[in-house]
Amino acid sequence: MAKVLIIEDDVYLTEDLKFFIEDEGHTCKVYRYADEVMENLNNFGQYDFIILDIMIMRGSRIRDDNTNIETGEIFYKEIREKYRTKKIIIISAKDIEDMTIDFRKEANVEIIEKPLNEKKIKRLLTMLR
Amino acid sequence: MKYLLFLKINRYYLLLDDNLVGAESLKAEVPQAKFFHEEAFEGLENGKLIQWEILKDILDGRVELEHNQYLVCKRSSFFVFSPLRKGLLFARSIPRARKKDWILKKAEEFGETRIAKFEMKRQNALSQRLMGIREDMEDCLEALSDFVLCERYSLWVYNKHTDFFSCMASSKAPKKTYIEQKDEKTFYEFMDSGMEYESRAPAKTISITKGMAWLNRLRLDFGGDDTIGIVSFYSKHPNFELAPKARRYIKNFLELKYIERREESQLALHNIIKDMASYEVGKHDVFLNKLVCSICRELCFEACSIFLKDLEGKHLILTATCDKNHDGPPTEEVIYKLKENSFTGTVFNTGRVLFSHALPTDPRNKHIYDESTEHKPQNWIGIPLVSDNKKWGVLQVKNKYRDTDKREIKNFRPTDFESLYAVRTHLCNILQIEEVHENYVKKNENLLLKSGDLEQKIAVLSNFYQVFMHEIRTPISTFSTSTLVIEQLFSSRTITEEKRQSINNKLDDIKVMGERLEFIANTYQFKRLIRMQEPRRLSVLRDIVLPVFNIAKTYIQKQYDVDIYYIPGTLEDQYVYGDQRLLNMVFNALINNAGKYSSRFEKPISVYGELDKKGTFFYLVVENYGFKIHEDEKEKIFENRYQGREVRGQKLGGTGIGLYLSKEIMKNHKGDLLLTSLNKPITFKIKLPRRNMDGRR
Repeated sequence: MAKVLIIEDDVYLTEDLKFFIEDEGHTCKVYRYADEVMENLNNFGQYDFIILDIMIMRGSRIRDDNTNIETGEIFYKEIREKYRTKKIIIISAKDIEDMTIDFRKEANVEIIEKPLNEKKIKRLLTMLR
Repeated sequence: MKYLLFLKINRYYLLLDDNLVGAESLKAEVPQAKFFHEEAFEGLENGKLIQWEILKDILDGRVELEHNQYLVCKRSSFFVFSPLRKGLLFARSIPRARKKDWILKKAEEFGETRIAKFEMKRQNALSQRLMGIREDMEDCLEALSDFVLCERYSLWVYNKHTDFFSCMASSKAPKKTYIEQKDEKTFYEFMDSGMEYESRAPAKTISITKGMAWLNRLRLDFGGDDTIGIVSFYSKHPNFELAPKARRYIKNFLELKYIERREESQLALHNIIKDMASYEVGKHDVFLNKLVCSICRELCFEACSIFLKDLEGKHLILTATCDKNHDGPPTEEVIYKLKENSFTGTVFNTGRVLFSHALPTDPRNKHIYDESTEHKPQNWIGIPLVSDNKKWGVLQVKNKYRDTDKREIKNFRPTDFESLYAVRTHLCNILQIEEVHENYVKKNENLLLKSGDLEQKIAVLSNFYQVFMHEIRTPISTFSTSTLVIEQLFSSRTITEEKRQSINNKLDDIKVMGERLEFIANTYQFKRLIRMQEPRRLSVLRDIVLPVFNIAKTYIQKQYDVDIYYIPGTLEDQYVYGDQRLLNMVFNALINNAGKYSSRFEKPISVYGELDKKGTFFYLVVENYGFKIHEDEKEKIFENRYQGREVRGQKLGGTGIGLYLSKEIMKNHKGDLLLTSLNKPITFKIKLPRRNMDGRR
């Protein structure tokens, strides 16, 4: 059974995602705010999967004034620097082509576009197996 | 020694002889010959000696007496007659009184033991029968009727949507499976009397009362929505009244059973709504095809169709249909002219729900399009798709069935109407979204063809469309994931208290999102934006503030962790002039911004009202303690696509259109939208005219 981290600020969505993931027998941790993510970056080694929302509020710890880059992309870079093979599942409402990182070309990355529906949730759960 | 034991049941004494064991076929074991009316036993005193000739008379010659005399043992719920050898009581060895006491004591012991055994077996037989029954109301009633020793039974449920009683179960199939007021008054009278129980001789002879001397009627209250059931038990014996304990048991059992069945139909509704969640904007054909199929499957109808009106509103067009031969898309073109007299057309024209229990004999039954069903057309419901005074079309279903070993056509239940109404609400929301979408696409195309002067409008529409899509994204996503959660929770074998709680929480979420979606669909209308409605006198609290509070408060508290309240006394009894939908849109934009931008700031959002000095304008004020707005942005903040530096820096998302659009709307209202404080708090004021500036009142 996997240990999963969800980084997502939509409460309604995280509640449901957490339910599905735990229902499959995995354990699941949720960070809703950027500050929590930055504080805990060093502990991410314990997770088998990180589900990462791209559009999240910056918070007070990120000092990047480039507003073209999304908060989730900053997280992605930080995580990749420390954990090069960590499996990351990107969930995004923004078009994947409009981002500064081309996630389609990244290794160990899966992409699920928002809004989520039954099919996409099932796909996500299959990834965790 | 052979005792004669009589157990009191209702107003009768039942002879409990050795043949009577109280097993499953209890009723078969109890021939009429074993019942004796209580009057026959009147005057029999405890301890009295009774000669066989007299006892034979009392028992009407129906019981064979083997002894010359009997000693009467009388208790509150039974009689025992102990046979005595001649002269026994006069034997010298034992004093007479002691001998008599001893015999009575033995008789009592015998009576109590035998009755306890009998009752236990009778109770066990009932429990076993009821436990083995999962679905069938018919079997439950038969078991209960046997238990109370009645010969026949029936259960009729009142459907408030049709004002009919439908037969749910009956030991003798009635000629008509539904009753309306003109057919049979006693049901309606009993229901209206508010009585819980009625016991009398049957009023007239119909097949079920034939040979029956007594009727017991109980009122059942099914849940909180005023659904009422009437259960009747018929007996051959006059004055065969049911004991209060048995009545309570029957009432509780059947009410619970019905609620269980209602839960099943709620589950069916959840499944439909879950299917509805897969809706994608702009693809309503696929969606409707799927919907008619899931209505048929989940609510057990043999056919379901959706008709939508055409652009001119003169015809109804078959858009989706599910029956024996179709699974969604129609294979032929079916068009109803609205002027022609048809069942479907009448539903649309009158905007009222129509139904029929007996299609073959119903004079109103005129269809141009008849779905093909496995059984002959029997019953039908047509529901107008109406919302916000707008008519979209008609949803109709045919042939309600019950899926047992063999599929049977049944009357619809109140829950069918409730489920269909719920589906209708969701469906109309979606049709509304769809219309907005289509209009947008169409207008955009049209507008692009003509250039120049309309550019402005295109820009407005395009902006508006973005705001609209932004607003509906979260509700649609929640619909889809939360219904899945519920489905998953229901699918487990046992539903624990914890799970029940989770289901309730998710249902609350869906409700919040449903209300949001409905609000958005009603409020965000292109045509209002382009041509404002004539200003109406609006109550600030009732028409502007509360509709938004209702949909935003719970959402903002949960999503952004921010509280929101209005200061009492500042909004009440204030009236302004404007277009309610547009003002809702403006207020909603300010509230949502305030929520989003003050997430985690811990200070609540406050809303209050104030008057200007002259009393010509009313200000609806929204204050929050979120990210500040810089001095140089004071004007820019209202520009199209401009987002504040702080908000932009935080990547808070949003379109940068909301404030621009709101300012435009307020200018059209002869009012304004003002930013009066840039930090701690950030204050926006909606300036609203208190008089009708168009000069019309």
